Amino acid sequence: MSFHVLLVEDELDFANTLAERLALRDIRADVVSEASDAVDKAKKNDYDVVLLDLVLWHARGFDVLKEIKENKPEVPVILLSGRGSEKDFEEGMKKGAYDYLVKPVQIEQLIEKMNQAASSKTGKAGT
Amino acid sequence: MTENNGRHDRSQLQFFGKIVAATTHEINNVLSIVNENTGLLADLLAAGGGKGVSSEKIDSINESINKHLDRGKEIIKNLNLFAHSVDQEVSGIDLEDVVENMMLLSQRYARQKKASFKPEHPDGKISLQTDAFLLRLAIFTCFSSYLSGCEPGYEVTVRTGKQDRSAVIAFSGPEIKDEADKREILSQVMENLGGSFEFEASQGHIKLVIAGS
Repeated sequence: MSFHVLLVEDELDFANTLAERLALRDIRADVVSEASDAVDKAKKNDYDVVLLDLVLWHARGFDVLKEIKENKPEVPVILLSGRGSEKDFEEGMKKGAYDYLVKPVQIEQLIEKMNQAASSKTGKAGT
Repeated sequence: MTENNGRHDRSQLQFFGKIVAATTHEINNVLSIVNENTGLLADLLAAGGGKGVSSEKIDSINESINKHLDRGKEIIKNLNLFAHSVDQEVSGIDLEDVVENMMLLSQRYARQKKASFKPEHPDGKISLQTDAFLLRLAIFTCFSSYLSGCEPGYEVTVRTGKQDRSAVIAFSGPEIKDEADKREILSQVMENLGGSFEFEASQGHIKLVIAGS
């Protein structure tokens, strides 16, 4: 079964290529780079998973996480980060993230994590 | 070690740390993009048994990889120049090269504030003998003064020039938040460089005067 993902990432070349790879696996990803767009999209759509980069150009990923969880507490959010910081991991989990992955990430690992996250929400499993 | 010297050493280390943190983050982004592009190529080849991928698609993936490899090389080259700036207490530098080096290394912080730095070098190459690391710290402190206090979405002009027998870097942009710690760093650094500085927060103006040209 396919699912619908929101990908919040300011490196658009990274995000668009990842979205293309996910599409080949029947996973639809909407890409946004601005924090306000991310919150708007999350409010308006019923995403199975949100992939959120922790370091955005104009905002802190943690602030975006907080807003998404306030508006859509049921949507699992997986944090993506360039640094494997224990402190970031702890703060993210405390703020309601489902999990934390360090970039570059292998797509099989990402999909496995997204499947687990989506299942935790509705019992829905991905491809 | 006096309390002042300790603070000064700490601010130098913090500066070094900030530059390394920002640039390694950028390098990691480059690696992530290359990783996704090579992954996409492998996905497409696997899906079509090698026959379903157009040469245009392969060219476009290749172009993206090359673009980001060039970006990575530029970052590493500038990080290397920065790292070697501590090799000697006094060395021969070209002022515009140092300014451009710091602009590239500070780009991540600038983009986070939707800010941009515009270089102007009307006097061309200005060579001087100075402490290349401390000069970079002074420039970064000026950049940080704009980035920490201003509303997002502005431009700061960074103009190099000559004044009598000294070299000058003049920054002009929006009003700056006047922060005592930044003034203290500038004061210490410019004293060590045998120069001086002007800091007009409300006018959005900072001027560094560096001896040694």
